[in-house]
Amino acid sequence: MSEQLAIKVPNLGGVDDSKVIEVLVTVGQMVEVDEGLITLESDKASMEIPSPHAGKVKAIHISVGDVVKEGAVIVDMVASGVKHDEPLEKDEGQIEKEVNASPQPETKQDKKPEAGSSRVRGSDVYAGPFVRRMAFEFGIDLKDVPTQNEKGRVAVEDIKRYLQKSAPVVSYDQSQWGKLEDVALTRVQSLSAKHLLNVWQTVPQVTQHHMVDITDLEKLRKGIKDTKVTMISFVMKVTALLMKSHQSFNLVWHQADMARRRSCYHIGFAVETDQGLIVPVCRDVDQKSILQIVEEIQRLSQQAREGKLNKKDLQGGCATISSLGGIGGGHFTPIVNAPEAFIIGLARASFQPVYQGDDLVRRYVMPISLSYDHRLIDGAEGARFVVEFAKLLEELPKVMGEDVLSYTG
Amino acid sequence: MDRTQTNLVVIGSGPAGYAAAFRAQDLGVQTILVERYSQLGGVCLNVGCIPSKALLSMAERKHDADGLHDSGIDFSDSALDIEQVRATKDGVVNRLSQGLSMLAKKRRVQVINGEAVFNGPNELKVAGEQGEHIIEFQHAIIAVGSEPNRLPFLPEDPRIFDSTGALQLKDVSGDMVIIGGGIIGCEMATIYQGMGVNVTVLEVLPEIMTGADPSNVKICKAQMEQKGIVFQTGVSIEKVTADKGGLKVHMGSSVIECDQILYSVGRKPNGSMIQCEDAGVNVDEKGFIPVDEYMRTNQDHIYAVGDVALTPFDNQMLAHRSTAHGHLAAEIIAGHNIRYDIRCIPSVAYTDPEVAWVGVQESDLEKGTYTVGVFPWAASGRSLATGQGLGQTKVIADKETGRILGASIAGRHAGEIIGVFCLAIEMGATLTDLALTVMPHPTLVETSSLAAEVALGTVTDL
Repeated sequence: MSEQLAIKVPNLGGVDDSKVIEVLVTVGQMVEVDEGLITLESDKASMEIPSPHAGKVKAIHISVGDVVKEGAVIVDMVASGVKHDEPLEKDEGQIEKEVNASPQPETKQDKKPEAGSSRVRGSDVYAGPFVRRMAFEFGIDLKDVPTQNEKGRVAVEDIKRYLQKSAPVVSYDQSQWGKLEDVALTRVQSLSAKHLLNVWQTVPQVTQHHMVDITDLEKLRKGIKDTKVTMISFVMKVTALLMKSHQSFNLVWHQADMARRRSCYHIGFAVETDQGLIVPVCRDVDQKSILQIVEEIQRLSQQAREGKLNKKDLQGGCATISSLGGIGGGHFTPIVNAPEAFIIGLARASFQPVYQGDDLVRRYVMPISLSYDHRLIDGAEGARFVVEFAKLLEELPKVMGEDVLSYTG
Repeated sequence: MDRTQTNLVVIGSGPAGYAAAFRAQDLGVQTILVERYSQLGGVCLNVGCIPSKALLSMAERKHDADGLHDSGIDFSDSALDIEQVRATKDGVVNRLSQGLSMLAKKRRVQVINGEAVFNGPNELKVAGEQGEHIIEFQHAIIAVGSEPNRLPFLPEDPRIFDSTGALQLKDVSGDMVIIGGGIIGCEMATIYQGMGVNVTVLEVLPEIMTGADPSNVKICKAQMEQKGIVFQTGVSIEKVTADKGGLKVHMGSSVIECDQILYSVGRKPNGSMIQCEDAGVNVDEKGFIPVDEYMRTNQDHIYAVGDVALTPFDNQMLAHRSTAHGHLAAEIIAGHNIRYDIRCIPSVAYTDPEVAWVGVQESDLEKGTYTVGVFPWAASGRSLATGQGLGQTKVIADKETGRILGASIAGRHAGEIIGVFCLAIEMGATLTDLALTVMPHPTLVETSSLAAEVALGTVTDL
């Protein structure tokens, strides 16, 4: 006899709740192992949840728009002749039943009680009842509220401070000056907003501009056959190499009297997508060849645009490169993607008259902007970094030699 | 037939109902309170918490007076005037109930007496002495409470009664069997023993006072036994027979003869009594009305609170839980953006000594995840000075964070001291928070911070 299984939302890598944006199966459909069941949108990425088993979909418990957590049942499935470890879950809410010996009350769909994982209800939040009620009334998740108490107790003052920070900048009614329309932000946009605000308020940053002569590098790049090598691949390589000799560039802010040095060289790059700006991370750039970097950037950008990145693809960067070269414009002031120590912004390169000794020559020059966490990096170090960065990129054609694609550094 | 329109109707005037009605009216919601009995206050005030506490207090003071000859003061000629005892108890009840009526009047809450049933999703029919009354409501709060369970094998006999009957103190002589050793059974045993009855408590479960900390139950039970109360636990009662000569409880080979039987085997909710189906409100097979975290039933405008409400969070039928429910529902109806957010509800057995507990108990927790601190009252100056140093205060905290998760106390005034732990849990306090709180000395309440010190290893009184 074939078994019936409840297929549940797996561990989403630390994501608490995700919105269902697509249901990919229908009742009665035969599903293969690893075939997508639903697509979830979460922390900056959407991901497909694959079926862990093959079988026939018997019932679907989730619809588009639902917000789900790990453990939520997606579908019931009649497995096709494979042995399974997971039995069909019949006893949802069993714990409550044991207490009450009565069925769980039907709660309203829009307002479900929190899952009772804590041993005392809500004991994961260190706050008194008034503070908890206040937080609920204002729709604040207490876990988001920074507290000045060293033990982590959230006080009324903490909530007031938090509310002041998040209060709208304009207090008067703007609609008196013309019609207003509400524009919903995507999840990516609202998460970015929160992150950027936090960085802007907590990280003292300096931006250092410079011009990089990439005449020879650009010539070399255009000459490479069969593979389309982007300027950002070279920039990433150079950045990783420089981080090795400028060790403060691989620091992470830890606390008032301590920073932490990282021993890896993962570099993120900004990708524009329909959902907003996403920064996938290219791993171990120091060890990869130019070709490997090119391919990884290509793969990650594609997945980013298709909304198929995993949460892991977005984590663990040591630095970020943001390139606006394809669009135009000059120097800009990128915001450090904390906890990373710095970010490099690339602007559009153009031909410029440059003095070489007494001669005025026509060179292809790219404006770059380095923003860094001034708590970790001094101004002198920043200046040294951009100067060497420019020098290294300029000399890169010579350094790389013939076999550009297999150059690792 | 009278017809009245109201914003809110509250059905039942117990601790849940009157709390809801008064709070709602205070918040400007026009409210009618419906009560089937002539006195307000429900079970708690009329035939529960309040009269039982009046009698327990008398029993306790008599016990103390009788025991004073050891200290050089002799009251050994004590005499019992049961009429006066009943009158004293009734006096307390009447005073409180009249107080409630006055509070209702002061708030201009209209009280309608009669039996209520739903007559539609927005209509309630009340049948009272002055005929029928139809109440058209926008919101309703069901607070119809619960009543004692009755065992099916008990014969109909005036000598066999539940806790309500027991409070009448019809007979305070001879032998009594109490079936059910929960909080109510143990309190009744204390009262009747105090009045001079030979009491035997029968409990089906292996121990009395299920839910309480076993070591504290032991302390309390030993004291009750010393007074002469007999406990038989893990029993299996086959039948009860009644004849003119007396009552017999048959338990396999043994038979207990007695003059009266009190049964206290839990309570059942009254959800099925008010034709909820006519309003489309779901009632489960036990008589509970399921509600969500806003105390709402499956009908958005109808709420259920107190003993009849089945919430996802709490399950004890206790007056203080009911009052909290009532306030919550009233405030939500008044438009407050709040929800159920209670971390713990305490339990107290008003025996002598008392047993009180709140939050998580040791048996709920996985070994190694928690810390316990026990302060024995034999080391409490106040307890020794006023009694026999009998009791203990136990605190349970999360091992990692030190957050206080629960507590359990046995001893005189345990029910008062437990309040410290209720506050600690609601505030998310840690053992250190409690240990650093300076309590008055010498008191019983200081055993709460001393227990925290024991858990932290900083105590100097042991």
